[in-house]
Amino acid sequence: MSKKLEKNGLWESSRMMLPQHREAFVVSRQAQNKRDKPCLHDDEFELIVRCIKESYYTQKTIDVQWVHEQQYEYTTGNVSKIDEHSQRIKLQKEEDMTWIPFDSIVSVKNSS
Amino acid sequence: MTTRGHRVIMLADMQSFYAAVEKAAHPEYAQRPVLVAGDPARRSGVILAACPLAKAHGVKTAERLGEALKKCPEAVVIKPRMQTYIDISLTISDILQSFTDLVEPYSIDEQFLDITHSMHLFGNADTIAQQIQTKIMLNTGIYARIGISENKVLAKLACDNFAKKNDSGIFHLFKHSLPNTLWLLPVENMFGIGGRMKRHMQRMGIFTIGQLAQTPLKKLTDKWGVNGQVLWQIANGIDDSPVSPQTFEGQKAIGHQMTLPRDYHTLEDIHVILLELSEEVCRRARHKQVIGQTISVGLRGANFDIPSGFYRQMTLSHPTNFASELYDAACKLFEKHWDGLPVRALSVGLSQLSSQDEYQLDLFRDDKKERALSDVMDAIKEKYGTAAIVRAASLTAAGQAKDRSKKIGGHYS
Repeated sequence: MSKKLEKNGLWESSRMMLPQHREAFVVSRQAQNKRDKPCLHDDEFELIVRCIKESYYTQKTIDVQWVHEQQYEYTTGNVSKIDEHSQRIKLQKEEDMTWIPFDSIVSVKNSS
Repeated sequence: MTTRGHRVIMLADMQSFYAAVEKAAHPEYAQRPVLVAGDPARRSGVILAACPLAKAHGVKTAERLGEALKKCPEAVVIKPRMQTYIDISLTISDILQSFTDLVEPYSIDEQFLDITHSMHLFGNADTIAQQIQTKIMLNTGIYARIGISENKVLAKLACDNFAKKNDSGIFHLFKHSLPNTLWLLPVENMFGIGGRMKRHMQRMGIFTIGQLAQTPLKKLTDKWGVNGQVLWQIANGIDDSPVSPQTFEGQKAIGHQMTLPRDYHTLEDIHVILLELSEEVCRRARHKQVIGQTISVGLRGANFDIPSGFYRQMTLSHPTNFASELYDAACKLFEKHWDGLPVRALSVGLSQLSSQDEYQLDLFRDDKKERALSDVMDAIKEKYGTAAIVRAASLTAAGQAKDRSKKIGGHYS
């Protein structure tokens, strides 16, 4: 009961909404947040390649922005493997590692 | 969200929403009174919406269709189309989202929006309100009334009490002007105060919203606890809740409610309904890939004059989304609390949800069969509709599954 006085509680407790409406609203919001991967300029592409190589050879930490299931993801780490056969890089951060496909990468920055 | 500094919050309310949608879809009825009503043959045959022309004849929402037609025999009666109303409500959400990303539906025909940080783009609050009205009218043919203030409570009060009644359909309620606007109104004009509460208030000598606002808080909390404080805050226009579109994500409970076509008297009949509701709740839980550990059962009695019923919860030994387990628990709970009187409406809910990917295996139970059965039933229903496969019990006279599969929110979709 006391939740009524917190955050959005007053409105949560009194809301009248059909479950079908609620679900449709969530779906339409998710659809709006969907992102397609932008086209990259050749210069940007080259910059990305250079950053990845640099990280691979010097273990420098980089921030990678990439598209996964139409959402932007941000992953930090150093490139520990470049898998040319499957067209992807392995980004390692201590114990965690993430495989990122080449063609999903939007931008790469040196981590500050 | 900036907590200090004034926010600018709006509540946009669609006038006679269902009826307005139907009028827009049927231009030939433009000059005729239109009623949207459930199936006249059934108890759900009440007025869901009446257009302003019908209301001018004295028709009220929620009254029986028969009574409405006595007052307004020339009215056009239209069956509800719930899915269409949901779609149009979402279209309106889209329109509102072209002004701000902070849009939160409160019901199918009311939506909150926070335009604090949109005004440098679109103009002041009143200008934006007019633009919203115009855009909604052009896109859907529906007249929107808009209450404006600095928080959600005041925006709602501004809309209900002033914007719905003036010519422009827009009202800006300022907090400093409460004493000579809102506070003069009778206490029952405030949302949250129903008939029973109004009588309680009047017994305490509270007749206006202003009197409620000035009642010492303690007097109200002693009497009604948290609810007393809620009412006091509403009367004083105190509300710091955000307009939060993400409020719908991460669902906390799944529940279904059914109003029965006739009163059910026997446990046997009621069991059929509990099974159907459990089935539906579990299907949705499986669809969302969640399991729940708390079950709730609600009942409303058949006698309108003596409101009766209960709403009880129970924690299960382990979380589940199997209909048979939910059904067993629902029956236990129901039998414990039922007074034996005729039943008008039933509900079953599942809460305390968690992901179905992780659960405690039971040493003595093998749920493989149950899981396989549920999966197959879900797949069939997914492909051929919810009435394609039902439990045998649903084919008895008490069963509602076939009929219900055509409906949304208890009305034809």
